[in-house]
Amino acid sequence: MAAAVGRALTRFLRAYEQRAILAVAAVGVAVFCVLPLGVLLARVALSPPDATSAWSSSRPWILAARSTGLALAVTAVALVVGVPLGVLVGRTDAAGRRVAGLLHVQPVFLPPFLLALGWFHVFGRRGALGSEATSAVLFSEAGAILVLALAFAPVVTSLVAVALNGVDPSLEEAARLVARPLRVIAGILLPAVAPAIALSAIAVFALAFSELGVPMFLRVDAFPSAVFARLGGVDYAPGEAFALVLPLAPVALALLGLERRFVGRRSFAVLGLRASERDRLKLGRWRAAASALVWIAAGLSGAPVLALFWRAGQGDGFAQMGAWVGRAPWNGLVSGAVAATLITLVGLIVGHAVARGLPGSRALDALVVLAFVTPAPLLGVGIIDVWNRPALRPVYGTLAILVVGYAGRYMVIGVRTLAVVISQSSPQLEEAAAVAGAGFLRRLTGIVAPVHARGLAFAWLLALVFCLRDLETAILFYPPAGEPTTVRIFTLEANGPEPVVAALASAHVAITAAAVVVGAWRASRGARG
Amino acid sequence: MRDAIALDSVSLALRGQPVLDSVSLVVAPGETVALLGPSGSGKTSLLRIVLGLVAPLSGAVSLDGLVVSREGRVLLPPEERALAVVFQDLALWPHLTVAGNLGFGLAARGVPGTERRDRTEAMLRRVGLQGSEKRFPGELSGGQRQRVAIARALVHEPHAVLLDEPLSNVDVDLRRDLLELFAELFRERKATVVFVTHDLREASAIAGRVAILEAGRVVQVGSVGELSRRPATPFVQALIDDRALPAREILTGDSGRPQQVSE
Amino acid sequence: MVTRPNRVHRATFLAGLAVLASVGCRQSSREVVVYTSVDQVFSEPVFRAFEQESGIRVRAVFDTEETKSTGVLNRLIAEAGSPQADVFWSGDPVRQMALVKRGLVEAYVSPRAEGLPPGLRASDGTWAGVAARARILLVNRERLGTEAPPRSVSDLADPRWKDRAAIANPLFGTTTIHVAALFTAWGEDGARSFLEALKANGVKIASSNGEVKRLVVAGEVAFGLTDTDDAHEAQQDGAPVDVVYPDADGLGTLVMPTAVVLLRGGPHPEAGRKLVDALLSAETERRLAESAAHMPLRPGVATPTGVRSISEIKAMTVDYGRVAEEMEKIQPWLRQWAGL
Repeated sequence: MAAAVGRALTRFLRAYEQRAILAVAAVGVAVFCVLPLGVLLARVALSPPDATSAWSSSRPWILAARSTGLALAVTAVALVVGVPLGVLVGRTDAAGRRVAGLLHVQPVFLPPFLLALGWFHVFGRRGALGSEATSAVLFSEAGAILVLALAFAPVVTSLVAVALNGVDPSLEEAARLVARPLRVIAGILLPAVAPAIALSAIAVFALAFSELGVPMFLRVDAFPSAVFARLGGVDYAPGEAFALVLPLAPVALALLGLERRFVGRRSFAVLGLRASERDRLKLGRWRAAASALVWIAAGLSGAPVLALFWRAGQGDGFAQMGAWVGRAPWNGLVSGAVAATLITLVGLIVGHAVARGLPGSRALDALVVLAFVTPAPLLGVGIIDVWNRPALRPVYGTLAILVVGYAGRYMVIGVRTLAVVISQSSPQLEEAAAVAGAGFLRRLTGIVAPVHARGLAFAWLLALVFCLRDLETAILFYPPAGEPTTVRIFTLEANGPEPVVAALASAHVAITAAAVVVGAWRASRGARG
Repeated sequence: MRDAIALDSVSLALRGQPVLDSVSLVVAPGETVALLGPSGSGKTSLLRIVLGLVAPLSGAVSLDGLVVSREGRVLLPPEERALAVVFQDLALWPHLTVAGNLGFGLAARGVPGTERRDRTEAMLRRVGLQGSEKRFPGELSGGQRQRVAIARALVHEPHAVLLDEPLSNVDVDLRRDLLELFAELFRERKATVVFVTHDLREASAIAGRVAILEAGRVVQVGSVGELSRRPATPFVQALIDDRALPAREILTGDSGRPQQVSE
Repeated sequence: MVTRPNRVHRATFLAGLAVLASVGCRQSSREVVVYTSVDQVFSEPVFRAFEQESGIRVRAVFDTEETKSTGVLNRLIAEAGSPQADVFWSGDPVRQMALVKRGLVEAYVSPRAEGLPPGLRASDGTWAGVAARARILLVNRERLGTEAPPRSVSDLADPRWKDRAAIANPLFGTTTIHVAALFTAWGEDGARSFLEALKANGVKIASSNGEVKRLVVAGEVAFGLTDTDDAHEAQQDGAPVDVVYPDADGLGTLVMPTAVVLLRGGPHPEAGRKLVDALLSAETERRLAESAAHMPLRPGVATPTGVRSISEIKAMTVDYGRVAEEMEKIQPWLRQWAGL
């Protein structure tokens, strides 16, 4: 009798297992991504005058147009730089491409503001190669576009390079029998990775549009500064600031729609994390020129970071750094690691749901994208509103609030990365497991997770990198004495000793690079190919 | 006695295109039925409906008299159906050892550890893979992987086994041996089997009855002999003609005795 | 052995939680929380000295270049429902008024505050001043050549200096205070027309006082309106600049002391009082004079060369409370003027 009841209960639970697990993930998304936004929406709803007054003058419209133009320009330049580089690094035999590729990618570890600082040490008036003319170019729209494009181009490069690895080799080989490398690239490879290119373009646009630090540092007008004025000025008006940001929601949704239509489910047939060394495309007489291009790009990416190290060395910054570093690196690493873990776990559930087209997955996907696209100041105000309560003190006064902030902002990284990785593989492994008697949870943990171990590790690392480079999210509510390194560099930069600031920035690069290298090494050792 | 598997006017459409059109089929307990048809005829879809991976547009699927799928709804999920499957790609779990592959389903169904080990060992011995417990699918040859697949399917004594062109990726020389092994195993266990193939030789070697699927419809069901005597469509005729069986071919049917079929 | 990434992750997660919990456990008695908009590079050493003397751990939240975050002030207001900080040390004497107005301040008359002239502290104990900056004109000698230097803030609107001057964004930082002070001194119409004239005169709007300093030092403009500490830095760097304390024979130079405030409902009230006392000391003024070129308010504090004491200049008479109110009133108009 008991056994029968038990069996019936199990059967009942099993039926809802899938929905229950998705619900758990949805709760995670709701708590981290939706709650802060919802609270702000409520503020606007409760005081509509704020909303209309914000858009009443023509200025916000002009600024919105300018930011859009800026972001489009950045995206265009990033594509022009990133796509060829992705091909050269990913598929050809350009000399030293692996080292050059790594050099090219490392700016991703720093908040763009620090890269601008590095460029300032190069091209500013008192910089290494600086002069009046170079300074004028740097502190202009053109300068902002170039700095941001170089900062975000690695996104394009990496996505393209990795996607190329996933292209069906027979497709390529057939083409190579009849065409020269250039035709193969243009005619076969690039169209094959068009979804990856589109995806990277959208990511770069979103990043460039919400960017605040670089335009302000280089004195270029941008939309986020209008939002900022409502929050950073004396007259604290978050309702108005949120009203300004509201139009971003349809823009974000439009981007999402564009991606769905143009790229579709194919977007996910993109990342092939196989490390197999296939035959490289031989460049022949183009090899020297192509290699030079790759190395020039690597040099351009490495220059601002080098400049930071140089400036630090110049003024003995490293020696004095100890007095100023505090516990910042520890704060950043710990909260980043925990956030990355949360992001990966939720990303596994939601990403899998997206990849397999389970009900509710598209809505969840849209929500996490929205949280990513919302300018950090807004998300921050919402988070303070939700979490700063006496009952929640164990969260709000500690590093845990950083985890909350990071998880909300960067949940999309886990979801999207794992969606791509999982949709690469056939659902048959899971179907076989289902037929063999495994319920949804067991399939997820016993089959999906282990089979995609490499992808999980990659998602975790990527999430960690984004948390480590974050500035604008953490700066709003970091716990006293709990600031991550990026924030510390930022607060010190105000009148702080230049060499020490440069030294801290250099140290941050080193720490992040070390974390990535260690993580990548462990991932490649542990997972079976 | 109730039918092990019964399909009643099952239809299916995928992405707007009709795939199955009012298919009815019954499989008796202990019977091996081969499902034959050209590519695109809907064989795999039929299998997936029986497995519960896809819901039929209309019609009903019953297992042992219990309705498990109906119009647009999967009433009993795949994990509850006590079926087994061998996919064309085998779908062996690459991160689990051979023993792990066999034990996974048993663990999912709550079989305790010692029993799992015993049944796994016994099964592997039966298919000639004793000693391979700790190896990974990636390390095995094609033939060995096939045996792991069939072992995995049969180790938890399923209500029925469904195979989707399991031998199409296998070398010709191996095919005959494997087919023999399958036939033996099915016979020993009196298993109910649905065997999808596009090769009539294979079908006749292993099944008593053959169902021919064409453009989503069952056009004929019967023994190979009946099919050759009275082919219902030109396609069936073509199948029969193409057969090119060697003179003496050992066949098994549910009678359990070897039969011979003349050209 | 095959990795189970979910297992590895679970381990990391739990380890992380354990660490977080250990960090989260706070020993209330031996620490104090302070939010400050005095630059970290200057304020942090003061906190360290306090830690060593008193044995109380200081956990601080710092502000950034004025434009780049919500600012600790807004954070204090946002957190009012559940205060996290004990003390607020404002970089200027006006911002804390917003807190006073909202009832977030605990009145406390520190023994160290006695003896301060009335303009530089609140009589009801809501705030007290220590170490001050002044708003000055930083002039590039070389760009000037033989020309007579500017003498007054009004010179910003003088066509003689068309396109050759800079100020920081009046929506942020000390510039907002200065503009509000002008509004109280000249009245709404006077101040508005001054600002319009400024715009017409091609004055460059930089993102911060630091930017203004950079512009002047680089020679991009002939002079700029900025703070004494930025000027001092430029001089230390050996730049060809001079400092003019404007309106010495008129309105006077705007002086801005930093202000120390005890917050209501903070988690460590006792330690908070101790910190307030320490911040209002001559020792703090000495440190800030040395590191940040702040002018001491108390007599007898040694200052390095180039840093004047408050008694040596003509200070503008100003009611910071009124300035604070004015600041909130002019925000919408200012935003429009600034184009945001």
